[in-house]
Parts: sequence; C-alpha cells; structure tokens
Amino acid sequence: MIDLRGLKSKVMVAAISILAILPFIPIVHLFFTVVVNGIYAISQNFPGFFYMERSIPGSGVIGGVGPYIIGTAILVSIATLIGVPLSILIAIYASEFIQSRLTNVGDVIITTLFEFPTIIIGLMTFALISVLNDMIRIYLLIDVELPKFSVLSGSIALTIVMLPFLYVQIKESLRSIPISIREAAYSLGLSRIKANFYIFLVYARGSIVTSILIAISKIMGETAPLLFTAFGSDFYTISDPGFLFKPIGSLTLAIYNLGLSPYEEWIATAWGAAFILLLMVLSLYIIARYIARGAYLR
Amino acid sequence: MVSMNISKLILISSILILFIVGISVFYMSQTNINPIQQEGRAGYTITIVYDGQSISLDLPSTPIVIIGGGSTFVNPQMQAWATKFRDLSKGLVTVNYQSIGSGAGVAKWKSQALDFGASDIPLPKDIYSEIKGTGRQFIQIPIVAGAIAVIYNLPEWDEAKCGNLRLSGEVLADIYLGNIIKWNDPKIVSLQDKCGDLLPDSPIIGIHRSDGSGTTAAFTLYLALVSDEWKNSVGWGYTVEWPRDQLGYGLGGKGNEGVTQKVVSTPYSIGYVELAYALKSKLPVAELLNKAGNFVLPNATTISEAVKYASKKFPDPADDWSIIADKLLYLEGELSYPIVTYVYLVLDLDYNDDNKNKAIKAFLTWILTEGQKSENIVEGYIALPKEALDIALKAVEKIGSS
Repeated sequence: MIDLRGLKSKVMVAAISILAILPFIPIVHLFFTVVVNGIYAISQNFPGFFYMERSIPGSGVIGGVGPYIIGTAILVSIATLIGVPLSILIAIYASEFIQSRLTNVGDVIITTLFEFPTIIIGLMTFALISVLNDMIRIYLLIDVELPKFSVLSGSIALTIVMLPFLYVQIKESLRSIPISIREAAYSLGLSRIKANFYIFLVYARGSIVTSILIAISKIMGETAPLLFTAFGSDFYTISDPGFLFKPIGSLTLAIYNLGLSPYEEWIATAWGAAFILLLMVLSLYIIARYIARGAYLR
Repeated sequence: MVSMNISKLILISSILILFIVGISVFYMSQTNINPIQQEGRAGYTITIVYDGQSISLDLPSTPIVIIGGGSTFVNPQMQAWATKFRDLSKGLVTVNYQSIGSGAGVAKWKSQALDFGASDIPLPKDIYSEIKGTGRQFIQIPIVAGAIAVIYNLPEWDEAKCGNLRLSGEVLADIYLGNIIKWNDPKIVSLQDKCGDLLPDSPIIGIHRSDGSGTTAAFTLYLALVSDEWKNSVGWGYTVEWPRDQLGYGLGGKGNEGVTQKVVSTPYSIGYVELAYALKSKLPVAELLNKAGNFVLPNATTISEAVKYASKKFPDPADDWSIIADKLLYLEGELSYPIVTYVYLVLDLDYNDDNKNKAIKAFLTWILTEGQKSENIVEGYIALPKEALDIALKAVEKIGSS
C-alpha cells in the first residue's frame, strides 16, 4: 500500500520550497553579475578607479569614477541635511496634532507624493526654478538667475524624494510611543516641545536612525530626479568656488550614460560604478539592521 | 546599551570616512588630477596650425565651465574632445557635455539652461523661426559626421561565401512599409550578386527605435527621399508610425543599444543603428545601393566621399538649415554611402561674458581644426572636409564680436 498522504505532503513541501527559492534566483543572479563584473573592472585600474576620471572611448584604458563618487556624496549629504530636520519637524506636528485639519490635508498630500514617479519630481524641480527665476525678474527687478542645472536643484529634488518616506516612518514611530511614556513625560511638567525633543525622539531614536539610513540608501540609487536637476558632469567640480551652483555628476547618472554606450571601456566603468553603489547601499542597510536589532534587544 | 552602540557606530563610520577622504586627498595630490594651475593665467594662448597659417586661441583669464547637452550620438566624441581640450588649456576651459537627447538639448538651450545644444538634425523650421523672432543671435554649425548602418540577422547567410547582404533604399522602404513580407521576395533576391537562393522563406522582423531619436529622423528622411510611397504615407521625424508594426512583423527597441540587442536576439530581423554600435555588436552590415548605382558599406572612405559632396551644399550658419536637410543625404559620387548624418551645434553669438565668449570660441576653433585630426576622432565618426570646416570656422570667428 502506497503512503498516499505522505507522498502528497512531500510533493507539496517540494513545490513550496521551489516556489520560495524561485524569486531569489534573479536577485542572486543580478547581485553576482554586478559583483563579478564590478570587481573585474576595478581590478584593472586599482586604486585609480576610485579617484580618476572616465577615460576617452576607444583608448583601451579603463578610467575611474572619482568625480561621480564625490558628486553622489555631496548630493546625498545636502539632501539629508535639508530633508531629515524638515521631516522630523513635520512628523512631530503630525503626531502631536492628530485632529488638526492641517495634519489631515498634509498627510494626504505627502503620502501621495510617496508614490509619485521620481522623474516627475525632477521635472517639477526644474519647472519650480524657472518659475522662481521669473518671479525674481518680475517682482524683485534684479538680474539674478538661479541656475537650473546645479548641485542645489539636484539636492532639492532628492529631498522631495526622501521626505515622504521619512515623514511616514518617523510619524509612525512617534505615534507608537506608549501612552504611559507620554503621560510620564507630561507629568514632569515638560512643555510639548521639550517632551518631544528630549523624551519622545530619544525614546524612538533606534527606529528613526534606521529609517534615516534606509532613506539615504533609497536616494543614493535615484537617477530620474537628477537628469534635469544635477544634470551630470564628468570632471571634478569641487575646486570651483561656485560649485554649488554648477552641474555635478553622480554614480547613477554615470551608470546610465556609460552603460548604454557601445564602448567596452565605458561599459566596464559602469559595472565598477554599479558595484561601488551596491557596496555603499549594502553597508547602509547592514548598519540599519544592526541598529534596529539593538533597539529591539533593549 | 543602544546609545553605546550608536555612538560606537558613529565613531567607527567617521574614522572610516576620514580614512577614505585621506586616501583620496593623498592620491589627488599625487597624480595632479586637478589641472587648474595658478600661474600663466592672464593672456594665456594656444597656437595651432591650420591650412598653413597659425591661429592663436585666446583663453579666458579665469577657469570657465561650458555646459552643453543634447545628441546621444555625439557623446563619446564630445567627451574625448572635452578631456583633451581641458588638458590642453590647463583646466581653463572645461566642457561639461551630457547626452540628454537631441530634442531635449535644443529645448534646454532655447530656455537658456545650456550654453549650447547638439542635435542630429538641423533645427526644425518652426523652432528656427520662433527663436529668430525673439531677436536672439545664434548659429548652427556641423562638427562631425557619422553614418547609420543597416544590420541584419540571417542565420542562413554566410558572409564569407556570399559577401554582405545587398539592399536598396526602395527595398528598405518596402520592408518597413510592409510591402515586402519575406526574405525570399523577388525584389530582395534580384539585388543579390550571388547566393540569392539562400534567402529563407521566413518573414522579416523590422526593428526600429521606440524612443524619439535623431537616428530615426535621418533614417526616415532617407526612406522618404528614395520612396514616394514612404514620403506620402509615413513621412519623417524623431518618431513615426511604423506600418510594419501593424502587420505584426515590426518591433521597437529603446536606444541604439536596444535595437542592436533585439537584432542579435531575433533571427531573420533587420534594424538600423549608428555605425559605432554596428561595429561593436559584430553583426553583419548591409551594403546599400547609392545614387551612382554601386553597393557600398559604411566605412571611412564611403562616408567621407558622401560628406565631400554634401559640404558644397551647406548654407550660412546663421540661416535656416532645415530646408536643405533633404539635400545632405543620398548624394552622388561613385563611392558615397547614402545615409550619412551630421551633428550640429546650436549656440549663441554673444554670451554677455567676455571670458565665456573666449572659452567657447577657443574650444570650437580647436575642435574644427586640431580636433578633426584622426588622433582626436573616436572610432565610428568621420572628420568633416575642409569646405565644411571653413564655413563653420568663419561663423565661430563672430562669437563675441557683435
């Protein structure tokens, strides 16, 4: 007599295991292609790959991605410096005044922005600066032009991308603070501002730091909002005193532009850039997980 | 305990960042990758020899960054020129060129976000007259030439025995119109010198660009020149309606790389891409029938022959070039390759800044003289002939003098 039930169970377990492994195959494949090709490209020009500029196509030399790494670092740090304090302030307001009409309207607007295509955010920033320029010319009557393609407009676009994510995360962690903690804070006679800054933010710091790190890694991989704002540059611009008002390159723009070209040197450079970006994002995720685990163990 | 972890982490990460910054700064100072030098700024000039006479290029007194964008096609060549000229000018002139597409390049130059735009086709008539109407002083000049190659994927065809596949403009138009369905159509067979019987009885998959592009504009303009039916039913532009798609035998690919990839992966397909992509893909390239009745492959000889005939028809850089766009393709000449395109720069005649005028003038004069030498031309591009360069140089002379 065949053990039909046992067989059925085994078949089901096998099927479910295969289905569980299946979605990982493309991810693992992607990961390994980037790692293998990236390390191969970097090893051909080490350590020059980290500080040199991209090579001339057809020259047979693999250049480097130095300007792009610095560009990404500058864009992401300025966006973080603007975005984090702003979203913390908005989140505190939203968690404190839950009944307020401003909270309801703002919540809807910001969460809608969450799912916005990022290319639209880039175009919106570009249009916003055009409008600002017109207003300066018409109302202030001074001949000042805000540069449309600049580090600042790129950072503003990235800030708008990270803001909804940070807002939702921070608001949720502030709202999930137990009522006993809130009561304890107010029973000490603290004002609302002091209670928020000295008690609630500190209490939720683990999840807040984690969401900040994930937001940073999220905007690090953005290409679309930078196309019409940071614009891109293949040279070092930081030696220029006015570099904040000039275009700047980024790793993602470089991967996009170099990877689509027919020249082997540039394609290899794009693989190397993708590997460096992967390392940066991965290390942020690992730090974020580490902090999150620490917060739960508390 | 958590606060310990966080402060420890911040400490470790700041030490790491300092370490990386330290290494980078060390290498930066070692290799002198930042060539902006303080000495010899004022009155610094470069002397070049062109046509037997020496020209001296006035460089700006402070470092200037020129921002340009547009054509994806010219990007590798522009990057090569930008790097070489930055080194030559000791960092005084940096050209930041980004490939955002011909249409976007012209639009952003028009809205003054860019110093110059680069396009695969001349300014369209409506845009030209619109800018002209605002009183803005501008010119468009050709800077380099290239060719569009017709690539195909025919497993039965053996290039070593039969030579490259031969096609004519009419047949290409018929293929993309859907009049020719299969490879063994008598019209295709009759063009072949030998191996006509090897052509299979399978439908042709016509691959084309799905995004707007100057390549499509030049290719469809060529089809419109050779086929009246194409001209009347499809026309030409950055994007067109492809009749073959409606029959189910047409496919779109994004960018040159997308078309190349689709032709590689689809047997019995045909497509058109810029020459550099065709050369790198190792796909066979079709020989095209030219006006003189010869079948020619795109290469340095056949492209420069075509450019030589075109340069006699170039108008003044300040004029409307769109009216002669159809006179620059499919030219006479025994060896002329029929689909040769030019990259045009659109730029202002005055930038209201003496240093910027000097920088742009010096860069353009250099690319039109020294930049056209074979050591400065990237594989897949062809230098312009002297007649064309003379027209462009005369126009560049006027920058900043009005």
